[in-house]
Parts: sequence; structure tokens; C-alpha cells
Amino acid sequence: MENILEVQNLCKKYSGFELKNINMELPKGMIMGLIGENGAGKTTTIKSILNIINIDNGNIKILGLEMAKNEKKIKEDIGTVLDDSFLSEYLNITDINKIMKNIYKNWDETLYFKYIEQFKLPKDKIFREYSSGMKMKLKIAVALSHHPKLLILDEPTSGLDPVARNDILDIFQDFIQDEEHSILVSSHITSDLEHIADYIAFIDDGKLIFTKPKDELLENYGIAKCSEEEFKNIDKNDFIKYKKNRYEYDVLIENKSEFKRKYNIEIIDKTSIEEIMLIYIKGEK
Amino acid sequence: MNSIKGLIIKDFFNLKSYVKTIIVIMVFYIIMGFINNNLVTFVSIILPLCFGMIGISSFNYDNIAKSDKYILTFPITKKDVVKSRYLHILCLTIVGTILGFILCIIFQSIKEKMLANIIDMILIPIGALCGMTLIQAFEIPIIYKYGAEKGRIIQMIVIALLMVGISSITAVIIKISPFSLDDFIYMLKTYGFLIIIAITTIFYIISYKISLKIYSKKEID
Repeated sequence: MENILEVQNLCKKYSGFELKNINMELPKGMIMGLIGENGAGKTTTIKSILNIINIDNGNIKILGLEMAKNEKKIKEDIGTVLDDSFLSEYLNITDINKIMKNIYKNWDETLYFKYIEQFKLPKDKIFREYSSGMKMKLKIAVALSHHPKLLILDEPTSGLDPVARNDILDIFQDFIQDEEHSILVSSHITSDLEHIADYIAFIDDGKLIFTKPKDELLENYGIAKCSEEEFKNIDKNDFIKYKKNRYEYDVLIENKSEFKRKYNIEIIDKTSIEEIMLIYIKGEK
Repeated sequence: MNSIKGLIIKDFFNLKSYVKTIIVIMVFYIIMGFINNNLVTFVSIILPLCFGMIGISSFNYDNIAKSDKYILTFPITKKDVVKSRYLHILCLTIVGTILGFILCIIFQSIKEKMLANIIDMILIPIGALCGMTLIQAFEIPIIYKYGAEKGRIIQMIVIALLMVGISSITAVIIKISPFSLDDFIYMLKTYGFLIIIAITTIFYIISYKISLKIYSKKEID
């Protein structure tokens, strides 16, 4: 499978925070969800990929081209949504169209206004007067209107009500239907990623903990509910991390069926991405 | 070049909310010019200064919307961002200068003997344009380095130091040179203006290079 995005040995050091040796690959036609708690390094990773910040080390390849040498060409094919950054709030839909058609060679104003209609965005108001959901939809309309091949989205569903979130997730799924487009999306709303992502990349404290297919995580990972005695009998190599509750231990395991064969523990629950993330962060080994 | 045009258009659109303020400022100074019988000072000098300052305020809009980060996701380089900002500010200051000049001509024809002569009418706005551009040449790198908020305070200090510095140097030159003040004014009115324009251009280019260096190394939050 051809990769649309390749990140190799990405390092970025700030005082008090360091992004350490990030490696990830995003194949064409796939959605990768970037998860991690606030301050884990999701936004720094995205800013590094987009060359917004100067990285200390590493190599970013998008559509087979090196970002450092082909920035302008590559960015013609990227659509971006950033949670906390956009154009001035005093602009309206028409102003944004006039600006963007002078920015992107492939800007398609017919498509842009089609999205504006589809998202029911008011043309007579300025961006400032929009609701959070409308603002996000406008950002997404702008990101999609130059026919990008890769969407990079930083927290695109934060602050949205469930209906708006659902609409937006549908748009993302439509975007990848042709198997040529891909999405890298960071979110701390892991349930959204459970709906749409094909891969999950988990970052904690600047380190990439894993990149795995979402289905593998949801089908194979599990949480064994053990008594203290049962827990003591488990080999340390057979679990990832554990969390001690008042009456039992929650033990995060990588392969439910193998674990079941080896240990006589009755309750092994299915797990969610959020639970996996929580035990990784809060649990002990 | 197309993307630079897009960024300049963005900066001009950002000024839409300033239109009313610009009109109020213009009307106020035109009235003041009429009352004081001195349109040259009140229109030819003030308008380039006002337009120049409004140009600088484009930093504030991007600062409030945190646009820098978003803009850098466009197919542009940091060089394009800095270049477009300089061009926008310069264009706006030139527009203010031309507008001031045109208004002077119009009011001169309405109210005769308001202006000394045509040379004043041309040289004074050009002087104001150079002065404003020179201030911007110091101001823009400071804003790139320290941001629009902190930059404004540092900018006021720099302008004050600049004015004290220039007037002190001028006073010393006049004192030690064999020429009188009138000689200097005569020189300025003849070929001196070309030197001032050349110096301003050099400062503006140096300023651009410094801003580019600062912005290229800057970590965008």
C-alpha cells in the first residue's frame, strides 16, 4: 500500500517538552487518529509535519516528496483545519473566497459555495457571528475546496454538539472514499476516532507509544478484571499496564484470546480506545 | 507571486472595519486644515502617518485570530509572509500620501493661497512618506521579534529615541558645518530629497532582511 505521509525520526525540543523520535506512516485511503492527553505532543507533531515549526531532526515525506524541499508544491495538496487558528473573525464567506482563490492554484469556488450551501452557512454574517459548529464547518469547507489529497486536522470536533460532530465525521468519511485521499486527525474525543479512524497513533509525553490498526486495538486488546491474588500470578510480560482499583485490578492486555488460554481469569472486558489510553497514562507496570 | 497577492488581499480585507475610522480621521484633519489655513500640515503629513499606522495594525488582526499558524499551512513560505506584510504596509502608506496630495490640490483650487507653492505640495508629502517608512523600518522587525503587544511599547521608545537622536545629530551637524540652516533647507529642496528617498529605501530593505531572519527562526505558537 502506498503511503501518503511518512514521518521518520521526528525530534523537536522545547524547554520542558520534547518530541522524541516520532515515526509514522499513513497509507492512501486511510484515516489515522492521533490521540494523547493535552500537552502530549499531538499539535507539535502536526505543526512539525506542516513545517510551521523548525524541527531539530527528522524527515517528513508527503505524496512521495520531501517536505523540506517541496513545501509549496506539497501544501497545494494539503487541506488543514486547526482548532485555535484561522483567518480574521471580521471576514465573511465572500472575502475568504477572494483570498483563497489567490492562495491555492486549485481553488474551486463552485465547490466552496457548494459546501457553504450544504453546511447551511449564512453568507451575510461575518465569521465572528458564527456558532462554534458553523465556524468549524467553514474551516472544513475551506480545507476541502482546493481538492486536497491529504487532510490534516487538529481537534476538528472539539466544542461541537453531537449532531454537528456526526455531520463532520460523515464528511471525512466521504473524503476518503476514492482510496486516494487520506486524513491525519488529532482528537482527544476518542469516541469520534473509534467511528472513523483506520489507524490509531498514541502519543504520550512526546513519545509515540504505538501506531496500530483500530480494529486490532478494539478486537485484541482487553481489560482483565482480577483479584489481588490473580494479579500476582500474572507474568509481567503478559500485560501492558495495570490500574489498582478499590476491590480489583484492571489489567490491560494486548491479546485477549492468548491471555484467556494462559490464565484462568473469568472477566476480560472489551476495551475502548479511551480506556487503553487511560491505563497507558495512569497505569503502572 | 499569486500567494503573496492573496496575503495582501487578506490584509486589505482585514482593514474593512477601519474604513469608518479612516473617513473620520480624514474629515477631522481636513476641517482642521481649513480652520488653520494649513492643509499641507494637516492633510499631506497626517494622512501618510495615519495610513502607515493603520498598515502596522494588520499585525493585530493576525495576532487576535492567531492567523500566523494557519497562514503557514498555505502553499507559501515564511519569506512570502514577510514580503507581503511589507508590501501591504508600504502600499497603504503610499495610498495615504497620494490621497493627501490629491486632497491638497483639490482644496488648493477651492481655497486659494492656502499653500505656499507647488514644490511644498510635492516635497512635504514625500518627506512624510519617507519619515513614516523609516519609522516602519524600525517598527516591523520589533513587532516580529516581540509580538504586536510588546512591540508597541518598544516601538514608542524607539521612535522617541530616534527623534531625539536625529534632532541631536542634525543640531550638531548644523553647528559644526560651515552651512546655515537655510542652506540645509535649500539643499533638501534641491537634491537632498533624492538622498532621503535612497536612505529610506536602504533602511526598508535592511529592515525586511532582519524581519525575515527573525520570522524564519521564530517558533509559531
